[in-house]
Amino acid sequence: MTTKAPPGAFDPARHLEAMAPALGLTISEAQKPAVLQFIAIAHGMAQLVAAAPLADDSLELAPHFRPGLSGAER
Amino acid sequence: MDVFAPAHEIARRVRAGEFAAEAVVAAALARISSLDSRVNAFTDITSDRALATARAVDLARSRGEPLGPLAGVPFAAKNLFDIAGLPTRAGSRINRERQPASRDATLIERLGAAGAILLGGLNMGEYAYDFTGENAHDGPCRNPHDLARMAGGSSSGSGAATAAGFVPIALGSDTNGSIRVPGSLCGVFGLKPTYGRLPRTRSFPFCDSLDHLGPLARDVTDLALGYDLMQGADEGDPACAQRPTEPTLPQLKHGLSGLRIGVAGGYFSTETMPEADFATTAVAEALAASSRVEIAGAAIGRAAAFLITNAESSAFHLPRLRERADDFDPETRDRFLAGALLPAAWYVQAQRARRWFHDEMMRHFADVDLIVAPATPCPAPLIGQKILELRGETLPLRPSLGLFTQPISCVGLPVAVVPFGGGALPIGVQLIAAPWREDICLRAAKALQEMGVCRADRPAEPAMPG
Repeated sequence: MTTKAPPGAFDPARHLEAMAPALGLTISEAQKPAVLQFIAIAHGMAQLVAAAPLADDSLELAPHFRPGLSGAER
Repeated sequence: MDVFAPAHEIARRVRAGEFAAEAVVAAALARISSLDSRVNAFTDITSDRALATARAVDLARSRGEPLGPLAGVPFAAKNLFDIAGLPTRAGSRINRERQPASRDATLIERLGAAGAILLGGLNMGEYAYDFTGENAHDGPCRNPHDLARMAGGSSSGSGAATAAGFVPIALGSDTNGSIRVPGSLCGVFGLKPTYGRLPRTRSFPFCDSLDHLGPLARDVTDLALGYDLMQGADEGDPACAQRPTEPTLPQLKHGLSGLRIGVAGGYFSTETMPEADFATTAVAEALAASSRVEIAGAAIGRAAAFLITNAESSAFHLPRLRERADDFDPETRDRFLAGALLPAAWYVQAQRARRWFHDEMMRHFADVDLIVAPATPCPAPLIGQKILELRGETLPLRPSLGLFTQPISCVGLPVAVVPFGGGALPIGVQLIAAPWREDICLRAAKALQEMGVCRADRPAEPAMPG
């Protein structure tokens, strides 16, 4: 899983190296192969959702938040 | 008392005075004591509490007080439900250090108010991120139909405890298939209600956008009865809908009358999956399903569920991942670590795609009332199996067991999983309805049970003596 990605392609290893420190995560060498595998799977999933035919002027997220209501009023 | 008796029958006989609740509970505890070392369904057995509660039921009866619709019925809950006096471990090692819960989860309280008697907490995949039932801390939960095989997860103990005749009803959770996968592999009925139907109050979360709670049972009447008794809004769960209770039990007698039923095609094709194909075809024929429903976008729905789950759960566990990564089950830890690193844009796009796929699914329900689909690609794999051959591809087994369940829970549809036992091992089929129409799922499940097409078979001896 540590083979170098082609130029311009998503590279799970570079992504991990950049993101893990930002999140305060230390990912050991033993953990890396599986973590990289799961990042690659998630990237594949991200490509699938990117293909959803969504309008470029619409931002409708599935979850809704209703301010002003709490507890039993919700 | 037959330990495989349905819950509604147990309650009827306890109310009639034919059996003492204490005797029912003692028989269930004895069976668990003698056989659960083989299955590993329970992680905590609350014997003292159960026997004391049973004696209270018997005392109430002796005083002529009214008894609830589940009087004396044993049940158990996946160990992510709070059980007063126990730390809510949620399948993890880390959570065992939590303070004991001060109060039961709302759904446990509601079943208890109906007279049901909690026997304990059930094994599960760590933090519910699992389809196998394997657990590095508590050991694998084994399939009562073949102890060398997986129970399925993550509600592994819930599926196995009902299949093994330990309890007639168990509570589970389902984020991507965690009621339906063990229901399928263990050969029992299960209901994943509409997202927002049952309150999750005082249960340990996995993924707020997709977490559902629901029952598993060996009998459809029991499934409907237990589900009905757990309905109702609760202020402790922001996602719980403010809807009135909509009882399904009175609807069961209506059978298939007036229902338009279709079979899911395309993404849900069972080509090269002989057991799933046989089961789905048999159920579709029994239901006289007359149309094919091509669910375009199911792969996008599944991908959205994958990303939403990965991102939300990993962000939730981030402090634990920073400080105690080595205390996680390695099989879940590495997925959480990957999920913590996902770009925000992937998550936002997944929530947009989820909305889109929801609207796509709603269009299908203009034409059909119920959609039949496979639940799992295969019957129970062997414990330890890592790879699954699907449609000519070699795929990692863990995520692939949720291939057919994940798109459905992504958009919160109610689903009953029904067990088909035509082969050497059981396998389940999904009955999917429009939001808030659990009654339709359960009517069809009841019809299939009455036709003898779907039933929760007793595990064969000698692995699980009756």
